[in-house]
Amino acid sequence: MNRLLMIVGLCLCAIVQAILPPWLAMGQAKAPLLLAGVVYYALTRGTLQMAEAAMLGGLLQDSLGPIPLGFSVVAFAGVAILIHQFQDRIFADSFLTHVLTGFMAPVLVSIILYVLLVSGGYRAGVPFSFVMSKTLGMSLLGLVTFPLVFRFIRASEERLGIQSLRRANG
Amino acid sequence: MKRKGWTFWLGLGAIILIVLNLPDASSAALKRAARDVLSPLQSVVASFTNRLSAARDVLAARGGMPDELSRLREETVLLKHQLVEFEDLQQENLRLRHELGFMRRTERLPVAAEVLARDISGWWQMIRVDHGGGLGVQPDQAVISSEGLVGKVVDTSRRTADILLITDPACRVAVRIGERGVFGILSGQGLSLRGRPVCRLELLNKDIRLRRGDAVYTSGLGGIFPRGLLVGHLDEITLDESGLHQSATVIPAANVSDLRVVFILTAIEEAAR
Repeated sequence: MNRLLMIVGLCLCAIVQAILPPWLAMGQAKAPLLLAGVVYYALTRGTLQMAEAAMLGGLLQDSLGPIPLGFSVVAFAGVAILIHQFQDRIFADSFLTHVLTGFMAPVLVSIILYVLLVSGGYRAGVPFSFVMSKTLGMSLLGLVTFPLVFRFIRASEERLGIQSLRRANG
Repeated sequence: MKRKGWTFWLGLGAIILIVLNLPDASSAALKRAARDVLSPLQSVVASFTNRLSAARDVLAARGGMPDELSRLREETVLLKHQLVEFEDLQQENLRLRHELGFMRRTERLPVAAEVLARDISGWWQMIRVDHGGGLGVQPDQAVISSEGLVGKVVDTSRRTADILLITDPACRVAVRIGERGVFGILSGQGLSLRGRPVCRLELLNKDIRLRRGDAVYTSGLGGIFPRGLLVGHLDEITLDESGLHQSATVIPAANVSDLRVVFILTAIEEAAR
């Protein structure tokens, strides 16, 4: 049930993220719902499920857009592994954690994707100012969307009687 | 225990490397399969949001509805009259082309498609629609809205098609400016600092007097976009630093930031019989 909820939750995040209009004035930044889902699992689960969420989230983002397959997997896995390292030192349930990760994670993902896309010759003409504006836009949207996504997944888990690793351990 | 950890990280690294290095055909097939699996759900969500937007528009324009209806009725009568005239002209054109032995011309049938989603990552100016290869949609077909040119099809799965918008830097369109006989290549510029979609025309002859507001149409050169589709209007016109050419920004006629339904110009038959 735990894995099923993760798959359904991430698919739902992907579909909603794709349909939401971009923030045009901020480098057409999109609300990072899929990334929020991945970060949630990086904060609250073991290494294996963190990796599964990062792989699935990355594959979904790459499949539903023109990004070459694997680029978002690298970006999401990088961010998920980094956040997972701090799992024992931060409060996964704290609103401050949700807001901070919501601000920081999109920055890292944008930078990793920009480097991959430019080095691969896929977005060579994109000016750096656009990337900066997009990164800031995604971070601001992350501030709002991360707490919402975290709350949504947590509420779904509670309804289904699923306990995260941290809560199960005590 | 430590060895188990290393094995896990090595396995994860290996999977990522395999995904990154998949052959193009396999990776495209995987992406298309994922799109087809998710497209019914996307269609439901898109249809719901489109209805919400439509309801919002109706509420916003409630006071002006009778006027709008009256205007649309008048427009319908006018268009019906024009259609009859155009059909006569088309027949005459076909007959003359046939007599002169001109090459056969491909006729394009517009197929209406609902917008399912925009580029999920925001790195491209792209939309996905609910008609794909199963309905004859193919890459390099032009896409229009009721206002003007929207873009071209770049990829299709059985149920969906990806459309690159004219405002994307990777999209190039051969155009001519009004009746001035100026030809050029229009390229997408993404969004202005105010978030307005813009395109750009460069290397235009400096001796030709261009005016802000001049209409820009597809020239038909290149074969992807049929001739005579409205692309947009000239905005700022500047002389290059070298002083040898002029450049112009073009504001697209179609509102590419808020598309709900578009028309894909699918090739159906050869018209000169």
